[in-house]
Amino acid sequence: MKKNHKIAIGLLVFAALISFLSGMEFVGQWKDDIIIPGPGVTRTGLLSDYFPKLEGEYADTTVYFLESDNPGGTVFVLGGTHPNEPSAMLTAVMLIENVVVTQGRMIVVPQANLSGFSHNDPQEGSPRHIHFETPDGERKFRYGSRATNPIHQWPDPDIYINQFGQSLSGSETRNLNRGYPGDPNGNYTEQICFGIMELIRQEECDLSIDLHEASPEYPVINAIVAHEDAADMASMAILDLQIEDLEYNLEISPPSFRGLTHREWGDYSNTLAILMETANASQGRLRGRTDEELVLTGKDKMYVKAAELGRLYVPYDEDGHPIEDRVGRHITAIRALVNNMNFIFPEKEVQYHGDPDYFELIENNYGDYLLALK
Amino acid sequence: MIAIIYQIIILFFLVLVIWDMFKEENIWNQLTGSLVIIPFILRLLMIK
Repeated sequence: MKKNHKIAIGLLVFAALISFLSGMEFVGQWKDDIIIPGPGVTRTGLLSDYFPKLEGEYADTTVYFLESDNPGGTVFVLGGTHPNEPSAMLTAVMLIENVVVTQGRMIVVPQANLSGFSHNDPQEGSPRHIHFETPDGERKFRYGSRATNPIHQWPDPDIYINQFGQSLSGSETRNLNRGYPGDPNGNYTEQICFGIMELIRQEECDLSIDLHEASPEYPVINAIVAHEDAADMASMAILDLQIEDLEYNLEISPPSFRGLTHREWGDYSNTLAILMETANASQGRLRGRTDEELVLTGKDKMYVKAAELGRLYVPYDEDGHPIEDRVGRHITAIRALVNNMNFIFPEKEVQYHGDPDYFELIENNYGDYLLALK
Repeated sequence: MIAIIYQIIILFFLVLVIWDMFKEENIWNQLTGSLVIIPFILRLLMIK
């Protein structure tokens, strides 16, 4: 055998080994996160229950029902629209594992774009998982990508023209929060949007909340974005939050910014549509080293510097914005929104307990509220 | 359908690069070829 053939075979074995090892790591992120139904969960379903075309697809995410025996309204909470915004998913998990509803009901989807959790963004250096110490051991969750996995939806067009004829960058075709109200015959992401839209319509959700995070340099941050139908409720909730020293901005959903939850949920169903944002340095452009610690603590000296230069839309110091702060804001704002829905629409009252308030949460660790693995 | 065409194109280039690795006399070019085929393999198998 010629010498260069021997070298080629050796290098092929090397390439196969690297492919195997990296492939195992990528495939490892396909494994579902463990979310434990808490004492308030009465049943679970799947998104395909509302849109059967999703049955058997990776994106067929789990729907958790927290129901009471007393009639009232329905609150829908959606986490994981963007899997690189972890406080959204973690807030939904906290509701699932802790909350008991005593009037009306709550429907929670913690991982809206399940496909996005199965990979993360190339060249971002993101961690694959985030870990929490609980009183009963370690729990972990995936840190995913902003967008649907290309192995589930490919190729991206050069320009994504949404369902309203608006032109967006090509990769936005895999952004769940650009594809509403969804299209049963559209691309994979638009079909997930359609499934979520059907859930809201078929379950007759009164209040629907889409949880997010944003880069500290993004103007819409520490904010509640409300469809105009929900503006009164949202403005009253913000007053309540400000009384508790939690600063929020109220943004009214722009009528021409199409495809987003706060616009299309309100336009294409009878729900009161809300989107909320907290500050997440790990998805920002100014961040330094990107690792699990940054995701969980938000501590980043580059953002401290940016704040000193007046470049941010949130206060930022050496304490960062830990996950307890970000989940605490979401949990407390959900409570404020529900309280004000109850006030404005008493016939749609929803009552629940088991959720910590902001100040309790920041005194503890997020893992303290996770249930034990069986 | 378009994904299958895409995979056929990947397979075609994968075979070409491997073929070139056996013809190539320069070890550095062979090493370059081995690095090039890694993403091709992962994409062909729809892992990444």
